[in-house]
Amino acid sequence: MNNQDSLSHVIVVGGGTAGWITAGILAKRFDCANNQSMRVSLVESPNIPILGVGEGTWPTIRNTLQSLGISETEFIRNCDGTFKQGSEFVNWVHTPKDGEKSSYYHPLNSVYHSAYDFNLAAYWLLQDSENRQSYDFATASQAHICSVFKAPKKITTPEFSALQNYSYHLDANKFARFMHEHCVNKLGVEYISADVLRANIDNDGYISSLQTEQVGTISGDFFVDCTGSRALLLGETLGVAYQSIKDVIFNDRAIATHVPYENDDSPIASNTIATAHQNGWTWDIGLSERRGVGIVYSADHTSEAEAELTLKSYIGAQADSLSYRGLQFESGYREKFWKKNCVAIGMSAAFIEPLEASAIFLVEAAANMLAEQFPSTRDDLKYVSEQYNDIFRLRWDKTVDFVKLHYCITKRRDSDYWIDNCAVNSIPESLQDKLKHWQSHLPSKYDFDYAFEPFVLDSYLFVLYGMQFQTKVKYISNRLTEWEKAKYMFDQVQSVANKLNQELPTHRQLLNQVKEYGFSTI
Amino acid sequence: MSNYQPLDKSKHQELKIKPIHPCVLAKEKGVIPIGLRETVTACAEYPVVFVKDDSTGQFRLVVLVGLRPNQSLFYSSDGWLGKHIPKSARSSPIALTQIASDEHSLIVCVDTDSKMLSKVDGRSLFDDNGAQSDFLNELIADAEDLYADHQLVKPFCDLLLEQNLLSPFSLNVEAEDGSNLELKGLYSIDEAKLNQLDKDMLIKLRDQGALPFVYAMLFSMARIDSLLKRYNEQSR
Repeated sequence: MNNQDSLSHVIVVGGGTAGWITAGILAKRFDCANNQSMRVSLVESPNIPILGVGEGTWPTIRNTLQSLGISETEFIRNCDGTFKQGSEFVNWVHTPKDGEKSSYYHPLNSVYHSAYDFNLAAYWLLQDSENRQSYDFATASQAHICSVFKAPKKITTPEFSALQNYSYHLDANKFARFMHEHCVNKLGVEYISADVLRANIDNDGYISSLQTEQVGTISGDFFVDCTGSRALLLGETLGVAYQSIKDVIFNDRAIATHVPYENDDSPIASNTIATAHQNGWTWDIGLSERRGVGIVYSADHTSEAEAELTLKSYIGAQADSLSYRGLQFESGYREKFWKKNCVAIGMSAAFIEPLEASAIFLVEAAANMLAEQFPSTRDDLKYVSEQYNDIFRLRWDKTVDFVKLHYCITKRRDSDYWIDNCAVNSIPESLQDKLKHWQSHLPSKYDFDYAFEPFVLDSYLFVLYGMQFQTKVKYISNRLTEWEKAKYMFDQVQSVANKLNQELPTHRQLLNQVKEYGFSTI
Repeated sequence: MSNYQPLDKSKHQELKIKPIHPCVLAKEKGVIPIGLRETVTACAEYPVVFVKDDSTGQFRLVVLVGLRPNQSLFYSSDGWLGKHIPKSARSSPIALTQIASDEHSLIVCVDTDSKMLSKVDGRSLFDDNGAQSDFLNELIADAEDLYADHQLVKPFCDLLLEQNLLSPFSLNVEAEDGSNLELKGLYSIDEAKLNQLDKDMLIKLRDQGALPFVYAMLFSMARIDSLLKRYNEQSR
């Protein structure tokens, strides 16, 4: 292939969430269904099951699904989808005394709480700390809505529109099948079922083709590695090393299970519930047909048997009748995400434990940028890949900082796990600098000044003040002059919450209505 | 409230229906559901629009009889103020209901809570031999007609949605007395999109018999002014 030849055939390897989202976004952008000039193929092994545990998304997914021409109703019906309005962090702030439960929300709502325009946090900090509402309930109507199991919208709200910002919880295996159907039937993705034995490299070090067990050689111009942690193309073939961040993010094991609902009208939480334990944390995700529950822990701090015990005691009475699946991983990233004519998207590129459900978001962001900046020829690769690597390294570093934040400002000291997590040498310098600054300054939009920051001001405020982080207010009180406006906004949060609480159906009611009637497009 | 029970000769043999003000049910209804064919007569007097049902999100074809939620400009204690009384507002304690297990089977029901029912006054539902009276047969025929006309709404609406011809709108007018009258959550034909429709789609609308109703809905928008006039007269 010449350096000026058009890169017109993209091959995505791997049919999990990352593979199908990437193939779909590329095929849509290249209009493969109607236009022969670009081709997108997806190669999937008939023998390797997808990991299929990622169940949390960000609100960007709505835009992604809608732009691919997917119906929200069909998506929810086929993927056991539910509405996610944020996360509830239980027992992260301090060591719980016997049976005690304390929690805070990180809601997705930015409609009635947008600290970019007017930062209520300062006024909240100056309220009497004994008698004030918690930060989430004082500043976000969505915290109220989540706490009573209400939905973020009504059946009369058009599809993909929101009354309160939302994303989804989904069944990853069903989602992969659903996307497979849609991408092949509607978007013009070519599907090839084959085991890739190796990738062939040409004299200039580019991948030229794949050698497969079942269908021989598959040639292509550009390759997307969605093969999961194995990173068959970028790692094994092109030799890009994996950089562990185990010194920052300790968790490297998980145990997952599915928990049935007790009955047909058990409430379904409209947020992920992340509960901290002595040596790890459990996720609890309400899908329409079951809950996805699991524990994430660090093998250096506890044993599998002990972790399973913690998980079972969290699940309670049903625990012994369920089947469990153990997973191993190492949080970290490839030194480069894009080399030559190959980009890795998904776990092949980087992985961080699922505390903030960033995995699917990062896949969407990667696929969107790839589609937008897709190189026309090999001559274009250098510029685009450098830009891509810079932006994703930034996104990645910022994600690590934000996940670490949840651990390193806790007051829990009930195990080495929490003590080690708070050790200064485990905290990235970029985060240390911010935390030091925020001891005497309010977090501001200027602390998050990159265009591609994955977590911005509101998210930090919810976690910092949810975790009862101390900012010394005496330095800022004399700079605050808009007390009336602040009072009005605090009142607004309460009155909007009351109004929504009356109008909105429960999460389960809405899911039943979606199943029976569906959303309208308008 | 209403309480519909399957009509049963043994239980309901003695029932009579009193003549009552024909629009007693519609006092606080600002929108009244209509069937598709009824659009043609209704459009001369009322704006015909779609609204969504709160509990199902499904579209319903309705006439606007007020400019505020729960306000009827056509109700009076002397009778309906318009020429065309929307059929579903003509009170009858008789209605047809689908059997849950079979969507093609209908049963005749009676609203046992209806104030029109009596065991003393009015016209009998069953004659002395226990057979359905002519009066009851008329009521059943009306109910069947109403039901059939309402069944035509969904295919019509689906066709409009498929062709992307519906748009949401809010009605916002200022009355003479200075009050601001607002109705939200209304949907109507998007005239601009209709005019851009390609030939094949237009022919499809014509062949499915939808065009007269599309234009009836469009023309009916002029009736918003009539509602406002009526509002101004009533509030003077």
